[in-house]
Amino acid sequence: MVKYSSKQLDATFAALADPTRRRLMEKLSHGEARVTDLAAPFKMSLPAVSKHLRVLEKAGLLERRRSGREFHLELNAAPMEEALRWIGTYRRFWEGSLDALANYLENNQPTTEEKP
Amino acid sequence: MNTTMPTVSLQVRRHIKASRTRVFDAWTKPELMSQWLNACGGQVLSIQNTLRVGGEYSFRTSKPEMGEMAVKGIYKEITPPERLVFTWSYDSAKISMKEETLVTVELTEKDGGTEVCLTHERFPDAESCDQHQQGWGRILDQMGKLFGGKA
Repeated sequence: MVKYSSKQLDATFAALADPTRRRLMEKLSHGEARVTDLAAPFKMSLPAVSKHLRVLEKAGLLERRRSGREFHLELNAAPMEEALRWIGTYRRFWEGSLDALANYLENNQPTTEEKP
Repeated sequence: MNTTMPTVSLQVRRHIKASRTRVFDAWTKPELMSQWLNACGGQVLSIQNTLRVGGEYSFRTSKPEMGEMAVKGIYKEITPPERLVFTWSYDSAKISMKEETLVTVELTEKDGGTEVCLTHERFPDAESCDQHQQGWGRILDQMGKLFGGKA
């Protein structure tokens, strides 16, 4: 198995504990966006949305880029990749094990199969 | 700020042509567990369990590229032949992963056999093990597609 940084994973998931921040991340997963565009669908002030964005930025999930007098935001893949790697490693482990379980049980049928 | 703890989780399903009782036995009897657990390229060196809620299980495996690896945990729920819940943690000097995770195995009768649905969840800290938060699957799936489908 790969080495995981528990601290980074905790920071990632703590930052994503909030539904507004998850929605912001989801919107950003479609591509970079301006703060004003991101804030538009939310029933909250621009400063309130900016505050959520700063939490995500602090956790390393976002990168901010100035363009003229506006900020553009984009996702930073690295922290999420850590989480995805964790999932991927276990998925391979369990898929392999469950295949082996099926194989074992299906090839070693008892002489009198009990009723399910 | 929201205080609920999120989890990251994965789910694997597999249909097996065997009764739920046989599948449940294969999950809980050490001599059967060693036949399939971690069989993908590895070898189970030892395995033991105390099958009661609060009881411990542990097993050691060996893989060519990894060397020895030890897993242990505590049974949280035992409902034959349908549900098994246990914690899962690594006990290895090579792996810098001390967190405790939770595995839930659900067995459902389906098409004359058994559907195994396994959920493995990781919690930010062990105390939050009892909290079940949803909502990760979608965003992680989407990220997975975006970043090359590694999940």
